[in-house]
Amino acid sequence: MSGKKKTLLKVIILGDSGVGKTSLMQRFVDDKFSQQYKATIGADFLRKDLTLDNNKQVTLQIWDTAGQERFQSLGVAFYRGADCCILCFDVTNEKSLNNLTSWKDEFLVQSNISNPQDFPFIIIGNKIDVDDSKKIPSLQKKLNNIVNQLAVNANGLTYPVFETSAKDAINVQAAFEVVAKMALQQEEINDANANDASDDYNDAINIHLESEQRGCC
Amino acid sequence: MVKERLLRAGEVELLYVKSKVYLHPTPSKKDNICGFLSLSRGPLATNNDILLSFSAENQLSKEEIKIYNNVDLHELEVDLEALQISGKRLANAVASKKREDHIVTKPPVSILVGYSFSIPLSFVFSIQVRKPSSGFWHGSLVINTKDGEKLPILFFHDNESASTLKEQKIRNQRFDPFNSSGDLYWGGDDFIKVLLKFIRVVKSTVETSVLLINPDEDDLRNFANNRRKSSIGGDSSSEAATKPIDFKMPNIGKFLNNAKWRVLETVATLGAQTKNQVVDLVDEHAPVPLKQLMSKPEVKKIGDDFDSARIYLAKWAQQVKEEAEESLKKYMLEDDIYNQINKELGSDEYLTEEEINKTSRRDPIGLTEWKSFFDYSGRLNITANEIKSKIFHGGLEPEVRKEAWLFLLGVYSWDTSAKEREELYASYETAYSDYKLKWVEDTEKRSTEFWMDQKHRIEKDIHRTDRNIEIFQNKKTKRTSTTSTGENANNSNERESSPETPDEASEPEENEEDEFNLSNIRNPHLFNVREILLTYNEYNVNLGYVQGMSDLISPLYFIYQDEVLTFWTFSKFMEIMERNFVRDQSGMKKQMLTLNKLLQFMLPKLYKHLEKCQSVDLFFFFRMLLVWFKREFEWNDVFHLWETLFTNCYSSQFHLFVALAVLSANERIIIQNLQQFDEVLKYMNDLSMKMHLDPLLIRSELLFLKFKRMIDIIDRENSIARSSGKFDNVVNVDHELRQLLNKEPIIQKEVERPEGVGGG
Repeated sequence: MSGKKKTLLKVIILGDSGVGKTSLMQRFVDDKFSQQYKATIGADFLRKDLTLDNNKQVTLQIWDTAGQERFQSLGVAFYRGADCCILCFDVTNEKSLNNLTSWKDEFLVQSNISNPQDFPFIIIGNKIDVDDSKKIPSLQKKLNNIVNQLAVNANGLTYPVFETSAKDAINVQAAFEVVAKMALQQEEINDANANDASDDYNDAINIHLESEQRGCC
Repeated sequence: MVKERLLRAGEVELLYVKSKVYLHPTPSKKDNICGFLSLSRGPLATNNDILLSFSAENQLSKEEIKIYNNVDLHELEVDLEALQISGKRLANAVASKKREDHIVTKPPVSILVGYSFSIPLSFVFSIQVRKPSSGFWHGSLVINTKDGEKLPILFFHDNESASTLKEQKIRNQRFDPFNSSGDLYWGGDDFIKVLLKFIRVVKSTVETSVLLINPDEDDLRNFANNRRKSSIGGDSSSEAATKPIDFKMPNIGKFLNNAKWRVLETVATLGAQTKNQVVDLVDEHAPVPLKQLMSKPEVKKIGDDFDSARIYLAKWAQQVKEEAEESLKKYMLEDDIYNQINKELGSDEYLTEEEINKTSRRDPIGLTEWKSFFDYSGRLNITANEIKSKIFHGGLEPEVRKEAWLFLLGVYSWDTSAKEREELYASYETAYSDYKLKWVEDTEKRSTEFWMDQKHRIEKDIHRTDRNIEIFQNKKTKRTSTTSTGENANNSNERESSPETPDEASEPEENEEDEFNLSNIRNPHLFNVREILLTYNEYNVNLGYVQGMSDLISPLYFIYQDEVLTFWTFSKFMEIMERNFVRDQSGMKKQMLTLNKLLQFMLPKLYKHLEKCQSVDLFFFFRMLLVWFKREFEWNDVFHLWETLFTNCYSSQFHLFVALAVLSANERIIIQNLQQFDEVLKYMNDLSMKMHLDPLLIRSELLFLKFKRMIDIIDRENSIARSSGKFDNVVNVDHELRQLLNKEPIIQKEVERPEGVGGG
């Protein structure tokens, strides 16, 4: 193992129930797909190591959550220290697109992010493998509207948009690479801002593998 | 020249001593008690009166220790034959003078005086010989008395005992390290060899590691197979009888368990090592059975999907622990499981024998037994509480559930007759169709956004709930009424009556790609489940369908495969589960808070650790509590767990004790290995499908009993304090904790849905 500590980046996937949050995560991390992922209850995460263009090694810790709104109120603990948030919708379900704004607001309220205007969000429209006839009519136009709406308070940022298919492995890798870059930037801002050492939470799991020997008890 | 003299009263002659024999009263090394195992004879004693003693070093004088050590080191040189005293020479021998340097104070003849004990050979029933595993665990002897008591296990620390080391050295010099039976020599060998000189010892033919001491005919029968017994001492000529045996297996599983734990302890404390180092370490030090276990693919795999050393170790330790528990199930009697769990929980000090016995498991209730509970009119002829207790302690056979769950869930009350139940069924049937018609006949309702959202939610979820179960799998055949299984399955006519039935003509040929069209449900059982959930959505208007309910209904549907009965059992189940699903999540929050308090009360050490891990919100229990561990256990276990919980035998919130038991069973692993919120969450999530239900249920029950006992003690102390005016000494027990003793279910209803709020 290399002695260099990898940067751990924490990513949260949000979106309506059934848009494919678990499938996207599974496709990216394990490159697999099943029709029968159970509805997520509570929260869980997976990790994946990634090497970015600049040879920077990062580890993504991707948090998958339950989609039904009422279950969000309990699971705020894992929002803390997030470096990027994926807002996910289903290209065949207009409601899931329209709900992206509330997902973003919910996240900002719960996560207590210090720089909400600069915080990186990314939008993923999943299930592009399905027949065009089933897709939201004039999707591009509606999507643009929503994206503009989302970025209203965002310091002139634009949020990247990806259309993916977790089922057919289209664009998933690319989307997460962008997620990683954005998250890394955010992490660096966080590091610069937060010199108060109390926030060791970001060091979540990539912990002290080499540096620390625990005493024998 | 060695002085000789006659024994005085209260003195004994040491015939044999082994030094550095230990008791291990706790798993911690620092609690080990070091002492001498000895055989000694007092004045006028026969062979039967020879004392087998363990004398703790710290209870002997310096002089005595010197004598014990001396006998330990030198006695083996004496011709063992000389020690054998035949009946003829007995009087002579007893009266003769003894070597002064072999005389000590008679060890106190009672069990356990500050860990020392002493017992005449005639009171020893059997000795189980557990050989050491070289360099890994100590050899030991388990002595059972004629009263059925088990004396503290004697562990031979061969690497410390002067006589054993000396003997090993001599044997090595002779290039003969093996004892007569071909096994590697160890400290216990001498003892047995000496024992044979004094008393008849018969090897049990059932379990050859058990030596029967001076057995009588009945003992021999019980311990003999149909094979001839093999006698390794004495001159027993009694034939082994052919009567079926009723022999308790020894604690092999427990023994193995201890051994595994020792490796784990070594390894897990090296938490910061990389997994390769861990594997190397195990390769070097682990005994063969553990290595075999380690090479199992499922154990190996653990390392592959996660590279945090601590989680790796924690998961690995958990896996091994489950293996060990599995082996307990195989090799140990239920009693031993209790004892083991009990010991770990420290409940001995809280619980009476009677209370512990109450937790013993029974066989599941089969159809014959179930029917025997009812008289000719179909009324119970035993009390409901008796049945509940039976169910709580053993569960039901699958074929009994169809009827029993109707009572457990309150669809039928326990005091009804068969006739009354028939009438009730008819009214349930009518009521169900009335509720169903509320949405079936109301096209306007079905076109509202709320209703369509709810329908979408239901369809999405049933498509991904328990699809691995056969009845919920899509058949490759064309949908017809013949695909219905089970006597009560709906016929196709009823089914076609639903307005949500896809148009037969427009249904595409079997096409896996069609999954996204959720309304198009080809499987008749999934179709029925949707009908029931849509009707429930109408029946409980305020709550409606909420994610997680599909997990709760599918086992019920599996049992009944009938709309009416599934609907009503589900509705009754939902009465107690409603608080899990209310919009503001207050019911879940409250349960997690209660669990938090319970954890502080019962497992304070673990609680403190979880505090360090920022995990005391117990969020990782959310899934387990929301759907009553449905995602954590295998399909068949879910039924068993739920019927246990339905009984409210001890507490209407017994599921919180199951949760506590999950933590308790993993306490050591969590404390030693996990340090962060996300590590704890990952570890707990990944326990899914890896836990064994039975030991967990026993643990839950013991935890409950311990909890109750603790409350009782506090109450008693409080009343003493109050009566003596010492009000400062009164301890307040939290209301929520006290409520855990309540058997009445806690019902929390959802409030009316505010205008403009969706079902999310």
